[in-house]
Amino acid sequence: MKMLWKRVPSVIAVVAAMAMVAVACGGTETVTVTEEVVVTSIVTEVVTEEVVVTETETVTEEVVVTSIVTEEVVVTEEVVVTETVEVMVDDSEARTLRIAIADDVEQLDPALGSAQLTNLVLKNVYMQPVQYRPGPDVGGFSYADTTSFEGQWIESWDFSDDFRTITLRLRQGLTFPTSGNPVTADDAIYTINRALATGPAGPAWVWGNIGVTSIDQIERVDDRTLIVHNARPSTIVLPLMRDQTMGIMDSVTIQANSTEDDPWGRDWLKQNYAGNGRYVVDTWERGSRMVLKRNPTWTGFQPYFETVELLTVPEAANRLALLQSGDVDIALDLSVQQLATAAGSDGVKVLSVPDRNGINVLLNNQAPPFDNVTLRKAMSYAVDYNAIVNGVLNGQAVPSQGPISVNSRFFDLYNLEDAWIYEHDPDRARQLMAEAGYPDGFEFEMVIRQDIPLDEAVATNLKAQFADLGIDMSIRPVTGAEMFDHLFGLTYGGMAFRGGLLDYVDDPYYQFFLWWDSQDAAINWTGFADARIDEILDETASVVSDPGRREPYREAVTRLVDAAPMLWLANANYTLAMRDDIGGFTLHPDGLLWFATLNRSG
Amino acid sequence: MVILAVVLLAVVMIGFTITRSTGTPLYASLGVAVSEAIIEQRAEEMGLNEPIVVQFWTYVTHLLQGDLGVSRISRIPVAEDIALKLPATAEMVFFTLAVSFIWAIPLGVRAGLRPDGKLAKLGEGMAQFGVSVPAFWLGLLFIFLLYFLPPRLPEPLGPLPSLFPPPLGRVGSGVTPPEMVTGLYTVDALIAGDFRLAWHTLWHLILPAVTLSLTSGPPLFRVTRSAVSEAVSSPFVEAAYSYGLGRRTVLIRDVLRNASPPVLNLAAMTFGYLIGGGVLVEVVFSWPGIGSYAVWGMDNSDYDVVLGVVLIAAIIYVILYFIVDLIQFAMDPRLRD
Amino acid sequence: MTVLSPQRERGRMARVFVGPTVGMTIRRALFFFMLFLAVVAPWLDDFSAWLPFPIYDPLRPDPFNPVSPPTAEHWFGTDTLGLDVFTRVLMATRVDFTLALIGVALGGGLGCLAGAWAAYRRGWVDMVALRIVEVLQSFPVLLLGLAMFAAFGSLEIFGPVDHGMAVLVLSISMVNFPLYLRQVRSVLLPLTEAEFVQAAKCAGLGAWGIVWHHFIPNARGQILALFPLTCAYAIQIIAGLSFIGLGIEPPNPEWGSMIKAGATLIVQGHWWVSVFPGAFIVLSVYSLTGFSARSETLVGPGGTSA
Repeated sequence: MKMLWKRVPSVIAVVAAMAMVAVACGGTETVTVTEEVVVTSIVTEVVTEEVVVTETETVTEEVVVTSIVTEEVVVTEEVVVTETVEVMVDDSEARTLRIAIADDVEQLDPALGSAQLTNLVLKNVYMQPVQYRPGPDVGGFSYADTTSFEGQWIESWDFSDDFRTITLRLRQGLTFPTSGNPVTADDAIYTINRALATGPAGPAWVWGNIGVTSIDQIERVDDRTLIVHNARPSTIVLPLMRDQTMGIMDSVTIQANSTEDDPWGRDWLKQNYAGNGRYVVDTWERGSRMVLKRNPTWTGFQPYFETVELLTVPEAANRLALLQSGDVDIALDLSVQQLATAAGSDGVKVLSVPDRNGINVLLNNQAPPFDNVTLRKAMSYAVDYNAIVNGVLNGQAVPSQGPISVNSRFFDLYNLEDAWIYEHDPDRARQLMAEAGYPDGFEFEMVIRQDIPLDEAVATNLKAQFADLGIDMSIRPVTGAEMFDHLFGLTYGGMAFRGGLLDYVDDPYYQFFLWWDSQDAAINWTGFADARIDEILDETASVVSDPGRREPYREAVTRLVDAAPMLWLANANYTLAMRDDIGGFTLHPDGLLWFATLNRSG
Repeated sequence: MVILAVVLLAVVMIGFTITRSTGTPLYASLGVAVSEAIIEQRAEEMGLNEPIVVQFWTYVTHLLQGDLGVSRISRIPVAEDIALKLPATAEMVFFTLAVSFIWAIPLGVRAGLRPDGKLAKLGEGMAQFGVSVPAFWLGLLFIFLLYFLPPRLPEPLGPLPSLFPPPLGRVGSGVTPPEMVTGLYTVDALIAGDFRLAWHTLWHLILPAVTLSLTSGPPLFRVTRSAVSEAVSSPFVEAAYSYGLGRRTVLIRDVLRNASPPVLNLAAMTFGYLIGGGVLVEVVFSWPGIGSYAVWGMDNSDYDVVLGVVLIAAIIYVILYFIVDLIQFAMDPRLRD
Repeated sequence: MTVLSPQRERGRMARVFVGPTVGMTIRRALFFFMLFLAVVAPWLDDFSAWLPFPIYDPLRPDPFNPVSPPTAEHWFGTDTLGLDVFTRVLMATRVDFTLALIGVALGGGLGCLAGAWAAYRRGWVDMVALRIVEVLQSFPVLLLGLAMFAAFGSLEIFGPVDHGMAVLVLSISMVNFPLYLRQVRSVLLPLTEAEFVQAAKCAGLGAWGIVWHHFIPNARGQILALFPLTCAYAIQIIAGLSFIGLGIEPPNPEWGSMIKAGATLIVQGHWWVSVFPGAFIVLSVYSLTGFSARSETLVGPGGTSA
């Protein structure tokens, strides 16, 4: 035994030596463009079916080309050259965009109710009828021009005078890259039919709001023209048509994968892809990453990035770490505090721009204690808005002024600032509490999502603010799914908070029928009902010009603010943390990243 | 054998009741624009309107066919996902045991032979430490001290290169795992002849394994110590000495051989325990094993996932327990009565 | 562990405070100090002016001062919400100790009774008890807690009591029940045929009376030895479960959830949010184990760590 122990020091020495060797060879994990070894391996993986042509065309902006070309020669041996579509310079490392996301994409069928990340992917891999054009550059990025649309699978559109008939001319010459099938009017009809049949969620809901509830309303005039009959005239037809679930699908492929039990190919489409967006789904390693490739059949404006990799990194701290080390170019879903850290890191920049993201607390209007409007108003005066905006949100927000965001086009247009009456006024809050019958305070529960720093911060701050008035608020974190159950079923006892609420379309009509219509609201998570507002909505539903909408909406917003169904705390900025060489960002009203315009400079 | 089946059944029953006694969230999978009717229909589809006994029966029959249900979120069968992630956990646990064997057992032997020696005190100290420290906190501390701090040490001491990789799972970003043979990356890399990759995956294994070993190793140390000290003072050892056998031979032949059953017993139990019990360390190091999977299921109210993992972990533990019992039974004639 | 002789038992109560070695005495002193902290915690804020260290309201966030390192004003720094870590770590002592105590007392108490009963009755009662123990112990502790939370976390049946607390106590009880059952049973099994039991039967004492008056006291030493260890184990479990997010209602302070809050920060270099609560866990467990002369592996392969 003694002999063995004597050997321990030498064992330690050997292990230490091995460790030093390992460090010397392995080193840190950063992957940089200039490190030779890593580039090769990545190119080999990425470039599987990719078209790589040995002839290199020098593009004037590129300076680094020569040195990389030599590497490329080695690589092409392992690449299958299929057909020449376009001559591209292979600086694939720079042209690969890596994004760290919080959760794996759930599934790929546009018809199913979907999470934020799924929407993000659907938007980029399927081709919608129209999309917003980018507005002018305002300091390294641009807002989408919500009044200007470019056709994608629709080339042009015409509205009849009464807006009830829409003529759609389909774009010719499009192909589905995965199958090679051409995009035809059959595909358009199939897509709409499938949408309606697989509803009521997803594209069926969108079509329903356009007024299409039956495939009979779609008339196929010829191979490139469709006419929509009996549409519902509204200002939001085109914005609805750029919804991410409206992508056109390859009917031939889907039908080939449909069965008798599953006539619309739902099972197949959950895990597979049949579209032709600017990017196509190349590989999907479930739970770890999804790789998108630039669509080779798209003949329009070419996106800069050939490859987009979405890496699933569940821990936010890890997403931040990867961003800081340069292993990813963009990190999604970072907390306010992490964004501050990111902004201070080398090589990282944080985009923080005014947006319509509403940090709003939901109140259950149908159950005590908040079925009492006076009490709801009291709470609106009890909130310390400054602490939320400048403290919790670290100044990356502005105080809210009502249900329509201050950053909405319509806020100034309709002078909606007149409607806002609340501010932090504890005395007034106490007075209203007494009026409502709770002079000594009361207790209630707030439901929040678990593990989300923003939710906890807002809840904890509100709890302390309310405690000053003798109100005892308890906080209950629940899972995301349970939160949905509470919201849709209106089973939460007092208040609920689930982060920012962003309406995908910037239009008061959209918000009102989404939230506030007592009969048809899609997400009436507060149980709000007001007969006069319903009336106003009915009257203005088909009004498509602004002058006719201004006064009714001013009245509706004023009524809504008076009824205080929610606590409107702040309008948070849109924030995105990315490497500082990434540019070309366009902010869409739905807050979903549009990969096509992104680029990398220098 | 019958007892095994009964125990397993009870395990399933408890697990099932626990996760089904609350409602299953329905709205989340249906999205916007739903009505009461749709919810009802969905509940019908999912079989939630059946009495609980019927639901249980369906679950058990599926279970016996290897069907653990389907994840509500990803729509992938739970059994499939568990099969994919179990090797990750298994690799971590194997390595943890290996590390424990390196420190806990030799120290335990030494402590058993020389209870007042320095190494005995060292062992007891490490055991005391391992028992007091929460594994997840230790993991975080390691990450901070060994990964985050070295590059940021001020001038005289550093900056040193970060010896350990970022706590991001089994391989670094951009590195492809080896061809799947056993699912254990280190082993598979060696099989493929890629030594560099094997070393790489090993390096990612070290911190989680050491963390887990320090916290789950103390019982191994203590059992080894007591087993050895008991064996040493037993009569047949004295007898062996009186035969004139050398110290070393006695040690190996009698002491270790007789002390090993409880130790190996405990080692096997530790293995079974760590499969499910390593969940916190998996979370800290973003290790894609079944523990993280269960937590993910928990966070998404995906009860089939949680139940699946709990069951698999419990079943593995129970089976190991019985195998160990059987082996002991076979090896030790004294137990057959 | 053997049953202590009567003489040693009598002197034992006095020997709670002083251990066999200096080291153990210090540990016990540490425990009593922490117990004191746990008791006075709610009043710390009220008397903060008289105290030599800065105490804040543990529930009042300061959104303008998040994540600041330890300073003279904030001994342990602040967390993401601007809450003072020092105050919260001290307050959490109360929470963790209470939950551990109640859980162990509940589960352990029932386990003792069940174990004594099984030892006394033998036969199929004993068999059933053993099977139950096996089943309960085959669930890895944390996953059992996970499953419990999955089931009961959202139910309203616990009334005004904090859900999280109730489920934590339940989980701890479920873990301790089989532990105590096994220990007590193994101690008492050889005693079933002992003379004093026969004597009691002759005296006309019913089964329950025998168990309660004669059986259990003989296991007292064992139970007392087990208690501090299982409490330590319980603290680890509570912290572990809170770390995954299954804990008491926020923002109430608890060591595990504080470590969790700091976990994302520690890789960014803000170590104080996680390190201090963890240190206190180490101290509590370390001090509790000072009550046992030799802590054998009473608690299974996982040791006493989560």
